[in-house]
Amino acid sequence: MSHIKSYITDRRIYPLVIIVMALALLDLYYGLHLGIEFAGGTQIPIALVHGVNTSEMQQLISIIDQRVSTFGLKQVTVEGIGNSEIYVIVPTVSEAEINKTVSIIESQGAFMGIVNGKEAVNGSNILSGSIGAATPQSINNTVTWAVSFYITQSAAQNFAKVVFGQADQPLYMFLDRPAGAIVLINESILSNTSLGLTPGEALATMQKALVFGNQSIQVVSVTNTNTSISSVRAFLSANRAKYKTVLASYNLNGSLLASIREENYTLKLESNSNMTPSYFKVSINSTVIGSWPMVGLLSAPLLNPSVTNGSIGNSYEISGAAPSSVSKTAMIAYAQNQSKTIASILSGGALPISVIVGTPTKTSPTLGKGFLDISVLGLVLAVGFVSIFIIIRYKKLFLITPILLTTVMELFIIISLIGLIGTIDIAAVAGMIAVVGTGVDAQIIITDEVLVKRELKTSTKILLGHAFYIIWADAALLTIAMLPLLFSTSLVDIIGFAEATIIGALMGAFLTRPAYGAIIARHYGE
Amino acid sequence: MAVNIYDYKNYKLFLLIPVALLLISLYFIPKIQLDSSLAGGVNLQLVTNSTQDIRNVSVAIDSVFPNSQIAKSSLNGVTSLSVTIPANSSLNTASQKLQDIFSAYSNYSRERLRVVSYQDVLSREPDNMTAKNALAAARANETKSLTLINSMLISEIADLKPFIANNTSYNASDAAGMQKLARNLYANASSIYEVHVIDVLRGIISFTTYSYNDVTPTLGSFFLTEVMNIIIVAFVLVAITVFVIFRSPVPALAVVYGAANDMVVALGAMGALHIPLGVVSVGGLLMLIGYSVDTDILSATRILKRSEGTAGERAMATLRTGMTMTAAAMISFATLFIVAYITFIPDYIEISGVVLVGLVADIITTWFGNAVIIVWYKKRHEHEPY
Repeated sequence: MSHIKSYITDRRIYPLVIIVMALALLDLYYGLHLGIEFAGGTQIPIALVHGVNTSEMQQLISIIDQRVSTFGLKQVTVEGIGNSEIYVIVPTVSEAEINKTVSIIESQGAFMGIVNGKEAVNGSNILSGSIGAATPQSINNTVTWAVSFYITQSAAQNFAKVVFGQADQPLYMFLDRPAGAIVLINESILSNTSLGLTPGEALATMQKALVFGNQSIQVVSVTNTNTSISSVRAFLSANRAKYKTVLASYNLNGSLLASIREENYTLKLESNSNMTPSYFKVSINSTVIGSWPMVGLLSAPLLNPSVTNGSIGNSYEISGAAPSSVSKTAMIAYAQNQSKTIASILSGGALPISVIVGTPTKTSPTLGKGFLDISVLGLVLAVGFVSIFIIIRYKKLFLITPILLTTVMELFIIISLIGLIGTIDIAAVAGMIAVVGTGVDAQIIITDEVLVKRELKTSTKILLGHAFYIIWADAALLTIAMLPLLFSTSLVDIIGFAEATIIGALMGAFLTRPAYGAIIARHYGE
Repeated sequence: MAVNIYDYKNYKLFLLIPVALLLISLYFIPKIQLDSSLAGGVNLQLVTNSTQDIRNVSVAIDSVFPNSQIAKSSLNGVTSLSVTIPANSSLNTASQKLQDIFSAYSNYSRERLRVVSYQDVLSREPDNMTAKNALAAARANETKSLTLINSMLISEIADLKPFIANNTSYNASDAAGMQKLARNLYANASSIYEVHVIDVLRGIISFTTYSYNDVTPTLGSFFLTEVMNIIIVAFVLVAITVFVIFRSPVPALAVVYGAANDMVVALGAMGALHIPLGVVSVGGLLMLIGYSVDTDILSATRILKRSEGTAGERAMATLRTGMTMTAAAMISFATLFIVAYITFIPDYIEISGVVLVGLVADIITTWFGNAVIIVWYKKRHEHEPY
């Protein structure tokens, strides 16, 4: 027993034991991530029509990521490949989900700007590529932002006509404004507005923002009384031909919900916070809705008198100032965010560059499970055969314990680190096989120095020193050889190989091989 | 003690062996087959219950899709087939046209924007000659881009003839509409082609599930350039580090030569033995640099820096250690290769195949090349302390 204890307290061995135990706990707590090759899933390649720089690539990745995850797809990975390709990886092989993802990636929203219930401008009026967000300007204590854009000649005439005389009125900016929708709003939401409006004022403000000729979105207030419910019922059945969707609070009266369904309306249940718009005061007695994402209303800038006098121009600017109550940094961040949001609404949330979605590559979970089983088998067999070979070569059964112990610990460290931080895929497993090879190579160098050269009566310490000179040089060179692959932005399918071999080389040089050397040295006399 | 090959009088002649191997390999390198990840094309994995002879299936598939490759594997009683079909040339040229249409469209939008902004300027300053000239130039470019989009679209439609209906009508002055049409036509054609491929295969062999992986040749050639760049950069970095470690040109050159020779011979052997080169092979090739410098550094260090016995004796002793190391590495990759070959996982076959042939090359390069150079160098400088 004390024999084992002396091994474990050796300063070349115990760091390894501690690290392995710590990783084991982390593995149990967080679990290991498997790549789609093992877990099953689909990779959708997206080709960009021309190359982009790193920051544009980052922007694209974040837009696609945001778009795909907003639509409720979980655990989607979006990664850039080189400068003109993006991979979207979804953990599903269902045809419907994949098609949905593809259409979300390709889709572009429809922008519509409404003034006083009339369409002033829409997405197709705006010249593509003309939307420019200026860098926030900071003068004294105010930070302003601005987005400019050009519209076509005919659109400019329509705009001038619609906004004539509407100075300081809001331009309601909608993205994908729902058609034929009714909003059933609880009286309680109306009576609890941020600006202390009366329920009647709140309702009128909402209706004003959503009016648009015969495509107005109807806002109907409802309370939990029989009279209110039956009048809403009557309204719904009378207007069945005009509307098709009802947006309502999830906690609306149950029997009312049932009758909405009976009338064959599409019912969308929303949380109270989604049902609540954000208001802002324009003047003492005028309040407008600034945004209400549930109905696609994303912003409502006020019209500057200079554009409402009937003059026709081609270029327009939407601008504003950040709230002055916050710190300068927060003001600049607000301004940047605001101009980015407006630019993205105007462009219909479009990707800044055209993309071509390629054919998705699918790996079924059953096939993935098969690949995983084979990979584990391959690893176990490789470790087994190599150990047998070493024992036959040196004819010493004792060696099996340290060789197996250090190799298995080395593999365990690699699997844990990659599985916790990145993903274990086929390339990573191939890298682990390579590490079994290099690890055993190092063990052979150590064993040869200590066992074969012992006859020369040199001290074990010097022999280990000789061995480690070579081992460290090898580890350094292997790491350097793998660095270009590790930092490759395009060959992502194979980066796991570089991760596994580099972790293996470093862990080997500093942890497992010194431990192996220590065991051999102790056993064969230090 | 067994025979010591480094004690032969003409041991330097051994150098001819790796050099000969290098020359033979250079001949075979151009024959390397690229897999679909680098050459572009379609790879299908089919799961089948059929007991048909694989050769008949292969011939039947090849008669419809020439130059296709097929491999079979069995796992837990389930048979999988991997079928690789070269890229469809119509789709391929159409995809290039589509790229051109997109870039012409982005030129078009830029010119369109210029036209409007100069009109804007002219509405305020009607006599601005610069703006007038610029407006005329932008108008001309706008028309040029529009014509280009139209002609590209006509030729894309011609390319996609086998996949689409005969009469495709569109408005040739609507650039955005043409761009959209070009994209949709291509997307439809790709999915029609996928259905066609699956139909043809179903006609030849029955299968339950399949996976379909399509790599465009453009992307494949981009990956190929990346693979080459990564290997060159890795090699240069390793060479610099080797020089830093040895601080002496001959041994450092011997180590770098050893790594280069291994890689060239491995590539040549891939060409000769029809082991396909894919994106994943890059891992194997880099690993080869690692394994190669492993044994080279071992031999250089032991022969140059130790003092027991003669250089030749030390070389021979090192050969034993080195052979054990290479054998151990070969065993671990051979295990992966055999397991992957039986169950058919192409990625593992490609990685382990490269490493295995490279390790065979490494034995010859290190002990007939690298070690010989070091022993020769040491013998000439025997009287000098290292």
